[in-house]
Amino acid sequence: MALMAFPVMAEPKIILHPDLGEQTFDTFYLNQIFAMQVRKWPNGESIQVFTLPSQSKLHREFAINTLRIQTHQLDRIWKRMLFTGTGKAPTVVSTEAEMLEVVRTTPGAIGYLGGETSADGVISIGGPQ
Amino acid sequence: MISNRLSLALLCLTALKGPALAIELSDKSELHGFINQAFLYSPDNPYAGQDANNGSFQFREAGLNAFYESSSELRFAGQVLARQRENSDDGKLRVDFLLADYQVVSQRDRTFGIRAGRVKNNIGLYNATRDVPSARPGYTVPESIYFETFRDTLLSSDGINLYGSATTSNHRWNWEIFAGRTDIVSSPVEYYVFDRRLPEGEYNAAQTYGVNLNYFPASLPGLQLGVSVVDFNFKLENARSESDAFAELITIPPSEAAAQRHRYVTGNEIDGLMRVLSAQFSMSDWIFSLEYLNLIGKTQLSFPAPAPSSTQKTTTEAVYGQAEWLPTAQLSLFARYEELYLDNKDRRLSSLAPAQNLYKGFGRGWTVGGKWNFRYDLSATAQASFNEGTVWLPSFDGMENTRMKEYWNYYVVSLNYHF
Repeated sequence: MALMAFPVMAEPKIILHPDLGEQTFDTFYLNQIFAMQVRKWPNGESIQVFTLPSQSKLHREFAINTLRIQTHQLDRIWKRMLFTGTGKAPTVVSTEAEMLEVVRTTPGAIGYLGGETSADGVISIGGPQ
Repeated sequence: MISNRLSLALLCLTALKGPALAIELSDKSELHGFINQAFLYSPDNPYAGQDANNGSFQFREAGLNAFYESSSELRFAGQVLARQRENSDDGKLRVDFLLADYQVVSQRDRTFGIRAGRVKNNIGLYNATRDVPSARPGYTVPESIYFETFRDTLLSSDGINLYGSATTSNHRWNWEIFAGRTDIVSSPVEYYVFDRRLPEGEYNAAQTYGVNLNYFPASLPGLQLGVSVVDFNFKLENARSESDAFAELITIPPSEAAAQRHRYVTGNEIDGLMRVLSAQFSMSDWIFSLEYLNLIGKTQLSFPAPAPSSTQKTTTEAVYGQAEWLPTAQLSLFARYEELYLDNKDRRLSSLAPAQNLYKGFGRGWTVGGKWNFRYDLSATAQASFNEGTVWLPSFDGMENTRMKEYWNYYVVSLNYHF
């Protein structure tokens, strides 16, 4: 279930803080990261997850096409963790520009951008080939 | 009222914080909360109290939780909760959970951690989140499996919780093992066993041990299969002494002794072994859920001679099926059918049901409803339930004075805010 190739031009791309270097992902791993189940990168750095609001079209595309999960399922997972004390929800940012900025400046950060959006200063995986 | 103070505090925080999803106290700590106010109308039978017969606003929940991340491995979390349900829950503030969480292993193919303190028990799909309005499909979780009698016993444990996950390219498993004790409210258990309050004695605490296992196949994204097994035990404490009970027992005709057994009970212990099988499938705009409960309960009752002491073993069974449709990000609609039988060999419990509540042994019913998330932090819920049998009717002091109807409905609307 490799996710390294994203043949559809409009599909979102994953972005990482530049210090994280090359990472490989499959659906389960990404799913675990965005469901806040895995807390550390292989190098021991804390994982910092950023998302757009659940209602945003890009978030919906990312959840369905990349994570293979419905947005309402993700919302319920986060609320379950939050209100049972078993985890924390991701940090929500308002725009793609803000997403790019926080991922670029936060060690251990992971987020996503639209396929056509510029990803200067971060590691980008997927999107237009 | 403490719940009113918590509600007021939450409203003040709401006014202060502005349109953010959480209050960040620092880089490592956050504050979250919720408040839910409902109006419930139960025209046929009293639901958690008599006022709901004409419609009642005495249904509210409020929670405030704090989270602190010491490091990526070590976290602390706690929540206080107030829950008012007319006369069946008094709205007093209680510690819902308070725990330290240390994740020992955090790798892409496996995780393992330990939680200590008061930890919510993951049983089935909804036990851990039954008090979280924004995580419930409607106003209530399925009442056939998550019925009120054992709510306190199963909700959380003061003890140890081990958890972990294992992932291969085609399969993912996650699991929890928990053990501990928990404080329980005596009244629902007294009504479950005796159909009324006891003149002396109470149930104070329960021991629980459990395991929860879930499986997610890569070949069918959106499918979750789960099994939960829980063993619990609690006993009646400070019951009447044998000599007191005997002195009163010999003054009444033997024919009345059975009907008055709550007055002479000198001991009671309940052992339960609960199994819940769960399946949930999320596909496009739909979520389908199916759960089955099998609960073997052993009840030992002690009375002074000449009244016979007894041990009764029953198997309780329940099942529900639920379909949720989420046509937009803001709207969800659901329908659920469920059944519960306290004794699967005597489905109407005709031999033991009291005269005023002849249908307490079973429940069958449809529930339909919907939720509208009209702002990211505000939602409105409406639910209608159409029931036969009163087994999941919440108990309250004095309910034995009302003759319950076999067929009964209730309707509820609620407004929820969370951050």
